[in-house]
Amino acid sequence: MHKEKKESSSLAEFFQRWKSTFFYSFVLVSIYLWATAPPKTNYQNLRLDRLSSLPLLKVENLVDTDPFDSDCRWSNCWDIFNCTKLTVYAPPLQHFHDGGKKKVTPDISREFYSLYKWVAESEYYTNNAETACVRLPPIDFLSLSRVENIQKASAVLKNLPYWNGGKNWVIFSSHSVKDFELETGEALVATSTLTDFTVRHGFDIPISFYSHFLRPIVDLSEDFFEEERTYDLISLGPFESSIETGLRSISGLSQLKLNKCGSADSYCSITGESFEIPLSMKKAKFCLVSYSAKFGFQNKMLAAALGTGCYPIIVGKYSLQLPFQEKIDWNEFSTTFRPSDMHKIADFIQKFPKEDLIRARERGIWTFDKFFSSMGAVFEGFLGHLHDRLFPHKVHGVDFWNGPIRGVQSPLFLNRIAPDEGFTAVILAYDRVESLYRVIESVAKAPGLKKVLVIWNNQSKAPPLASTFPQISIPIRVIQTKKNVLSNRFYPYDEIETSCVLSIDDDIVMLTADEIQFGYQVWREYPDRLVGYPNRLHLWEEDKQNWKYESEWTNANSMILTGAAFYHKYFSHAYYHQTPAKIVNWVDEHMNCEDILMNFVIANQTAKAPLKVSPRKKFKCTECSQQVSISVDPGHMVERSECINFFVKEFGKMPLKAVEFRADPGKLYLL
Amino acid sequence: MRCIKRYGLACVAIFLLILYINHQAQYALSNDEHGENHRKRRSRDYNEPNISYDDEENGVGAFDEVETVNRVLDSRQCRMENCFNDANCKKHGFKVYIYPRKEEYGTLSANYLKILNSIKRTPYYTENISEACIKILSVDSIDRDPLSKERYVKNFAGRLSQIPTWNNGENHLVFNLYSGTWPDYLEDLGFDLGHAMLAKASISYQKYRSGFDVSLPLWGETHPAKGKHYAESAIAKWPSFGAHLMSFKGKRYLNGIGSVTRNSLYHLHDGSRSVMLTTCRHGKDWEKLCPNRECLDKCAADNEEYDRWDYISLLKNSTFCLVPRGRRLGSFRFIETLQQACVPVVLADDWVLPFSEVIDWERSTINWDEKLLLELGQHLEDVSPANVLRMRQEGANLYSTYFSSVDQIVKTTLEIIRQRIFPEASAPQFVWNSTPGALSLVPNLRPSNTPFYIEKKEHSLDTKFTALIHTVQTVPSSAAPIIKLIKNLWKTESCGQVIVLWACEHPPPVDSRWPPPPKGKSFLLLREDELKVSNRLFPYDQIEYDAVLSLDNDVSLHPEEIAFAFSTWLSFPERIVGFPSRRHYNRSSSKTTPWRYTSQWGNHYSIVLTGAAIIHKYYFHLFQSLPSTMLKKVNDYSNCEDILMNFMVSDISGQPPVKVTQKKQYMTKTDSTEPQPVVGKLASRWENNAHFTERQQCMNFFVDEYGTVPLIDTEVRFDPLLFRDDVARMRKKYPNVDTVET
Repeated sequence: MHKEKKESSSLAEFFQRWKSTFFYSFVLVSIYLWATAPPKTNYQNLRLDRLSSLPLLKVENLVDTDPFDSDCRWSNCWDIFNCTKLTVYAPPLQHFHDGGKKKVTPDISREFYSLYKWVAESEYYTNNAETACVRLPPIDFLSLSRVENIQKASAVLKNLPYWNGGKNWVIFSSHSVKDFELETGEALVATSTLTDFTVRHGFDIPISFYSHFLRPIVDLSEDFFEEERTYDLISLGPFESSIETGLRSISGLSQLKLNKCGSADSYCSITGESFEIPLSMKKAKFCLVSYSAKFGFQNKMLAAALGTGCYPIIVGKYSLQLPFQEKIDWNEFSTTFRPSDMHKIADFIQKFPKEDLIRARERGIWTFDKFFSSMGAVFEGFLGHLHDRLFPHKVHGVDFWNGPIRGVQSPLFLNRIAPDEGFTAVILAYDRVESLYRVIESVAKAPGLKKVLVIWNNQSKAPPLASTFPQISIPIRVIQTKKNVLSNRFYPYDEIETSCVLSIDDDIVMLTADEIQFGYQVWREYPDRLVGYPNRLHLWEEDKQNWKYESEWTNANSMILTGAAFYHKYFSHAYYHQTPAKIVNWVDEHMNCEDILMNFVIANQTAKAPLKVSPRKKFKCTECSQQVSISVDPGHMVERSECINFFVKEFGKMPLKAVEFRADPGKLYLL
Repeated sequence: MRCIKRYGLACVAIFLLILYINHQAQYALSNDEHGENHRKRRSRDYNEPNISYDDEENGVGAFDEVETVNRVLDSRQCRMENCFNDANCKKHGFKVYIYPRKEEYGTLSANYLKILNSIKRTPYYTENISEACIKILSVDSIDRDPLSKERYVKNFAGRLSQIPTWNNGENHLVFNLYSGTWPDYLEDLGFDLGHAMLAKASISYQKYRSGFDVSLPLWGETHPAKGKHYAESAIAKWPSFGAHLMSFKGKRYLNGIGSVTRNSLYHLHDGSRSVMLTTCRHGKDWEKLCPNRECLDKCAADNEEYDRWDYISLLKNSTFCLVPRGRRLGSFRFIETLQQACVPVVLADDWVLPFSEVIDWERSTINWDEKLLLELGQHLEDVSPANVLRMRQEGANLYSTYFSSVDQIVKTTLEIIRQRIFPEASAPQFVWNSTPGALSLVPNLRPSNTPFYIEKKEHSLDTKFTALIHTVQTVPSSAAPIIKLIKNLWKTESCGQVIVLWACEHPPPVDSRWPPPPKGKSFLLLREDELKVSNRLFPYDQIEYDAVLSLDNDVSLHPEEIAFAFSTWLSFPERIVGFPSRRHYNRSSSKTTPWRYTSQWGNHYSIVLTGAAIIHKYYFHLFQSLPSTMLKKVNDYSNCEDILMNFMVSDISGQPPVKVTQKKQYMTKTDSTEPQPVVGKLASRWENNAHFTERQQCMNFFVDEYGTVPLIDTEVRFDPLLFRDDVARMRKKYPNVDTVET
């Protein structure tokens, strides 16, 4: 006691003594606060604390509302000038009352809270309401049945600062805003119950919200993917009569019919056994998800089915809009039936190929993780949708919405026969001038040749004078490179004006004009392949556990040497601009394997094998370009094998494909 | 100041303390430079509420009860659910009925006739109204602009009232290309649609009834009626950018609807990077719209520049082609742009792009906001060359698949409606948006059943095949070649199943007469009930594998030839891979049979005979769903099924067949006079003249039905890698292919 008193007295003394210090400090702090405050002090920062005691704001006029505008479309209700960048404004959370002490806005749900929190912490958040692209009201409309007075809630919206008729505001709700008569003016509506009747086409966005119900699925950690499943089909009632009738028409399946029993989210079978939902959905291959006027859309069950790898069979009438249906390819991993066609379900399930089911499961789980597994995921999907509308020249693309594609889509996927615009011969030369001239002379006899491009890769010696080149009727251009690296031969030079490039070494003099012309013709028919003459093969050595480069005569072919090969100019771009620099540099430093790399680049993008054309005179050399010096050296082969193993490591896979055929002229006369 | 000097330390301490408190209180969650601090604090989740929004009612949203069908609705409220009756569709399948033409229905425009004829060519067409799912009027609704004098049908409502089965439009589909009129073009049709569905060009989001209407492209009178036509061939060129970044050539509206964008385009013109050619020279009194001399001079200068450029070559040489709205939202130039493989930049706010219910236009076009027109140039430069290459190809593919003729447009329209009614048999988005597209997907079959998405989706092909031997020999004792053939098939490792399709009048030999299958392989004898030649290309349920080796009963093939053909087919499952080849050529001097079929040798071929060829089983499904007129031709002649199969496969894949290896016997038969048997022992029926004449007639009949010649010439055949190379026999995998004689 005594001690305390002493302390307090000394404290008073202290204050007395430091009075002036406090004063100056105060001034100093004031100056600091004034000086460091943001220039626009009227923007409130977002507070997410004190949820239990949110500020209660009285709204004076709770009569006027902005009626739901049925004519809203993207062009007239969304202000795109605010959206040069995708930003989201969310005002501080608060409640509103009409003077009668009673709140007119519902309590904040944990889902809405986590949505808000995600926004606040995201890179999209801005506290500047005026310039924000998207504005979120601080009111939890996720369930409209929790809103006691819809009319007053609508009026609260109209009273929000920066409301501006609802422009650029977004209302998230699991209920149809239109049907519940929430007056949202020009605000965009993202709901999980959009139908063809309620959607403002090209404006509103169908969505499905995360719910706490899905939590057990999100928490799943064990691998349940390949697990055998007990049931063919689970259904979770109650259903509207037409669906109930349809369900009775399904026979011959191992079915689990559950119905709601007792409290929310508990489901029982006919025998009264209770099942844990959603986790029990893991036990079925297919899950029936219904929608009907009476019971609405089981969108929660749709998400749960995806998350548990249970293939959704969606049953309902015509009008439902599935979440992000403009973007997500639902038909790839779910199937919709009309109630009157439900008798077909059994046959559909029985005939469903196992391979397809596994793939659909993969896609479903991916989709769940990406767009359903949390409010943040939902919101990111929503913003992705807006992004694609706002920036049509750089849309997210299929991968964003449907997952990285499993397979490969060739960059030249149209696969039509290429127009006959001729080819450009690109010759990598160093100092063998005489041989170079002979190559030019022989290539020039092929009618398809449009231009010769000599890549002079020798920095210490100037290329020969133009006047000394063979006199041919087509243009010859010489490009002096700055550095002697092998990749120079694949550079997409502007001088190459045809899509078809013939890469040829300065010592390939044995090809006849007929052979070259035929090679060009083969390329035209197979423009997304490397088409050429000497071929090689990759082999897996089981004992050494690595790849081997094979240059012997073989019955299969997976590589074409670029000493004499046609390819589409796009692959120059792919080699130079889409291949990690590490790999290209490696090739340039080792002064080897640029041809193998080109085979990798093309096969990696097309999943196709190269095409060998058989020349009449056989190539005597084993490694054409380095005939004398290198090929006799067994070390060379070892190095080439090392290249393959290095590329496989860097590409993360072995993209090369081997085939057993070669291209010959349709008629035998050439051979 | 003295204070600060003396108690500086304390000052700073207090200062910092206040700063800290200040910050603490703010807990500002803004993306400013303090973000790092906040992220640390985020970890303690102190305040999460514990109620869930769907605790009470389980997240089930209530829909408004949809109005019952009996009540007459405003046609704007129509959707499939309340205005369409699917009872007949479910009962009889998807059938489309066209009312017979009557005088009181008025005349039909060329375009509407094309539509009706296209519908008649689909397998959905029925002449029986009682089984109709969709009904099509024979009253021309194509042009509902009263200013279009000839094409505009007057008193439409009156004519409708004469159709007793109109039933307020229920289950009717109305086609329209032009609606509304000067000056506001309000998209009105001038009659009450009732419950009818509308397939309409230039439809806006405001008028579009989601899931009920179909948005059509606008096409001109000269648009082909039939067939799949390909876009400009130089699609996949590199560099992908053209001489001009963007271009436009068209009318400039000085006033009225649509003029805002059209009258601003010239601001973007610089003559090279951006070529914007607009002319005021249209309509009757365009000069009067110019308020002053200056305007007239400007127009004159514009017109001169305008005439210097050719529209099509401008499309060809541009990377992006502007497709601004005209008076109406859509214009011909949309599909013209796709045809030239230029990337469309659509400047038509609120336009529902054609078939956007199924086509993902973002992959091939840029839908630019009209309000941001002047910023366009700088953003287009951001699009990467690789993306341009992709977009050009996507657009060209969409053009040929869904837009290149009235046939394709009509088929697509009907397919969209069919998929709404039978969603369980609908194609995924990725099928719609890749080659060969949803029109080549047989309902109820899965994309993994087809040969088309192997690389894209990493589907796997069966590593064995089924041999299907079509047996027509009439003398039982001559069963010897077929026995030898089966023995050779059993020697081929990759042959997993042999099916003998017995198409003879007399019964087949008893089971014990057939060579027994080795372990793990199966043999099956199928007897045809009805003898028709199209049966040999039927997708029998019993066929186990993806690849079907279709064989005539008198073919002789060495096991190595068979194995090599199958090994090659695995790389080209979307093509016919086989042995004897044929080709087609054009003799334009002949009016009756301009297209000729020949077995004479040339440098190229376009047909591989189905007497010895590997074909993906999926093509058998497609073959059976070909229009009945063509199948009838084949069965009536008992001939040409192989030509038709080649037509179909090349039409769908856009690729020629593949011929493997060369048999000496074929070489010796070159240059024989046509009707002679050129194929050695292949089917003796070919030795007669009539057979050959029929084949000529078939060619021309199919060309007429298809509207194009889908066959594609190729100069390439495939041989084993070491075929006839100077390598020891023992090192060759297929040494016998070198020397096979018979």
